[in-house]
Amino acid sequence: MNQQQITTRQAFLIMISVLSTSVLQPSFRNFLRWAGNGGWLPLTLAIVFGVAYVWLLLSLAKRFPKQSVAEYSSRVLGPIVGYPLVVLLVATFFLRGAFALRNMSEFFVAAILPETPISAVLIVMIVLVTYAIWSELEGIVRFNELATPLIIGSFILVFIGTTRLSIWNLLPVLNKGMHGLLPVFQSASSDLAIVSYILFIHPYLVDPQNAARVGSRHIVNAGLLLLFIYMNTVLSLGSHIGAALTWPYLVVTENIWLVERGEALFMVIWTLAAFIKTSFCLYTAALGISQLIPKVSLKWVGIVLIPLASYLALIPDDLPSAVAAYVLFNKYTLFIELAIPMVILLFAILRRMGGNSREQTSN
Amino acid sequence: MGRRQTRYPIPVNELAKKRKAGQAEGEHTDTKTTTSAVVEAYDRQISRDICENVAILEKLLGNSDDVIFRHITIGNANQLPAVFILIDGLVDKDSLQESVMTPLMLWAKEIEAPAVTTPEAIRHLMSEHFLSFLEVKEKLTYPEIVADVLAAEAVLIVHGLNLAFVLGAKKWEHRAISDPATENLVRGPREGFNELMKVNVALVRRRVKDPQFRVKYLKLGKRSVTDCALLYLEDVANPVLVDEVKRRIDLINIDGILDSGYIEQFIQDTPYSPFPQVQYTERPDRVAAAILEGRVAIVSDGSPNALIAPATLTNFLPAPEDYYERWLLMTAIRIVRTASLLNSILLPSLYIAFLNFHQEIIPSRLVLAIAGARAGVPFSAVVEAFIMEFTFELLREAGIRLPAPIASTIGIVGGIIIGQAAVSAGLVSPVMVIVVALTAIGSFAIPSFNVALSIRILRFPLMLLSAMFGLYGLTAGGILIVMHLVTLKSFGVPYLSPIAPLTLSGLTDTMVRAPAWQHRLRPLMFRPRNKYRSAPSTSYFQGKRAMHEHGFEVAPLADGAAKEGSET
Repeated sequence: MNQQQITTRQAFLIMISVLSTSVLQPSFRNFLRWAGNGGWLPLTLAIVFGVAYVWLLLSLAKRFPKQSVAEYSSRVLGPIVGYPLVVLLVATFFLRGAFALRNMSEFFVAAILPETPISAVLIVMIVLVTYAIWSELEGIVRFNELATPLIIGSFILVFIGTTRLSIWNLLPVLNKGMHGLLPVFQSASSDLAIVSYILFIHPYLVDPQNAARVGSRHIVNAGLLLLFIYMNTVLSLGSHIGAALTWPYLVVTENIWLVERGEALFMVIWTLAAFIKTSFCLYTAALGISQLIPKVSLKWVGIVLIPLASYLALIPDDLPSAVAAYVLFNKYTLFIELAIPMVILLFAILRRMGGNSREQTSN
Repeated sequence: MGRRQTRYPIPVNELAKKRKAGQAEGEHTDTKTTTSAVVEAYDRQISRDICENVAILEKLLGNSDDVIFRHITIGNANQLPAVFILIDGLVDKDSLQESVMTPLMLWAKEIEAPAVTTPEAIRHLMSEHFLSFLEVKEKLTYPEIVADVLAAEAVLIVHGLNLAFVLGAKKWEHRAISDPATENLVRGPREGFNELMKVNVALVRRRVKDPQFRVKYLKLGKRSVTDCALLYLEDVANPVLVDEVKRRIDLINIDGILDSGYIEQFIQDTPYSPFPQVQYTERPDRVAAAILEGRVAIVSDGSPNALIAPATLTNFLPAPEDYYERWLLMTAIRIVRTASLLNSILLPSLYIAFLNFHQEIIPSRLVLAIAGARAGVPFSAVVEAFIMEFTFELLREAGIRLPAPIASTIGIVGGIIIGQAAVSAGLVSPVMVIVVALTAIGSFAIPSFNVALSIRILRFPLMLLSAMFGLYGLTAGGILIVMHLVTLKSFGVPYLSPIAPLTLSGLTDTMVRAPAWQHRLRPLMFRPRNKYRSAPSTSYFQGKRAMHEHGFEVAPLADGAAKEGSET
């Protein structure tokens, strides 16, 4: 295991950047399409879910201090069950990275680089992500530390500059009925469940005793940011118009009074967010593999994973296919990311492993 | 007059043991490696026979015409033959003549002392009566004597003694202390380092009169045998940091250290980075400030630049003046300086990106004006930018190398005449000239030359990326640079600290320069042993109430008081 050391704050601050990339995802409009004006309700509930999920993850991680899920899962569940479950968890991060690459490339080509081929945009991002993985965890979280204020600032600036904010756009409440709330809750929760990366990087935290407090706070902040973006979009465009657009938030930024056609400037900041999400997801996948197979170097795993993720990203022929694939992926990822830590924790409790139990003492 | 230091010779067997131990530690750790193989062949205690000693030393020092062997006879009852060995031009001949040769050759005759015959008595007579020099050391072996002669000391060997007296009589011509050429200030001290290490150390010592201030001398370079000094505060600097600096310096194995820049290149963490990881300065006040922060300074002989380690990016951006002027004004200046840094690295790239990819961002009237100005220019914006930037770099380089009066002419010729001619000829647009000029001014506003140089170099790949992908490419380039910066370390300290990783107390001295009384903590990123630099309440502002209760307070003047005063 390498000697990377990060603070808990740095570890959870990633969530802000990750959640802010929602504006680049074509699936963001599904929030408006499914839940209409009432999207704020499932998004608020998703924040509550996020806090509970962080509590679950940290309950598990605390039982096995200085160890990653790749190390203790096989001891708790046995290698036959433990390893495949971790591989499944790693696969979710790998696929998240691949989808982030595709979404980001589609967005930039559509928004600011209409004549540039998608592969060219992808190649630039591949170079950046490779360098990020090469820089390892410390590099990524420090970069995120610098970028987060810019990212948050950009959303606040858009909100301040939005010309046509109307509270009446929120009415009627629940115009799409109750049935649309569940998919939005599930999708937003799935986005928040990316915080399961903490199971892999927990051994590198210098202050794990603060993890529960800091983690909950940042999950709430990240969820509120998502809610803020959603509300800004609805208040500006209304759910009906927003649902008809591929990237509704992009249209919001095109119509702010602060800068004439300033969306390109915001693209710059969102590139940072997209870069952080992609590199962190692929880094976590590479880290998971290198923890499962200790002899394999993390950097080289990353070098292999990145072209593979790029290839996967280009498999869907067009944007609707990519969006459909992402929606499907998001649906099942939540269950995978929820079930795996729950199962491991349950078995750890039943088998009295970790924490203050005898097994921990003997180790 | 200080008491003369008497040193007794170490027994030969102990000396041999020490040398063996030194060899086991590594050949870089002692000065033995600085002598050649021939010198090593004579690595033994000197003889009592002066003729043998002179023969060996003549052989070891070679046939250089500047090496002086001055044979004399000490004029007391013994009539002892002796020899001075020194290098012409490096020794203070006047003081040597007055303080040593005259007593030995003339006054000694007048002493009616009984003849001393034992070596111990001769040694006592010499060190206690005749050698009226402040710094006298005794050396035992040929390599030590050779090293001292080459280090500009005067050596005296007396017949009958198997040791040599080394007299600290170094003196050579040197530049006077003057204004630092590259770090000018409006307010602040005017002293700058010169090329003498001991003078430079003294300039710092004068500013830090603390018994915990430590100066450790080192010798670097196999052949140049350059004197270097490590400066730090024992109870402030982290001992691990001090050891690490020493360790990296000890690893240097090169024939010559001709400037502190050599040392910098050997001890930095990432030599392939364009960013400097060790700070250099020719200002003693800056070195003193760094030492008070818990950092370590390295001063080398022959260089007017002291090195400071560790160094983060935030250490390169302030000028010493920032701390001498009032905080509010200097914070504003720092913001301007940061903007100029961004301007210097981004402006040409933004121009290219906006013009080629994102015209919609530029206000309509401005875009029409730019299009009008560029009408007739045969090159694309990127080619135009590269031509102008390259021309400017050429002019700047030429201006630096030329003597000052001609350099200003080059500036005028380059800036005005060539720029005007290029616009008139339709080679470049006037907007491009403005962009390049603003970029240049921005780079001049950066206080550290080496950071400004890094930015000058990085500007070109960014321009290329902007030409290829517009703002997306520029952002990608920016990400690569920042990603590199966040992973960079200087002696284990993250290069972007205290911003990333974030230390709130450290932010009081970044873009914002908080008032002096709020700099209560030393920069924690350097892990100082003593975190506090001031007591909780040290300023008038903070203790205003107490001052008014117990101190001087001016009451308003009564009516007519001025008139009464003038009459009396």
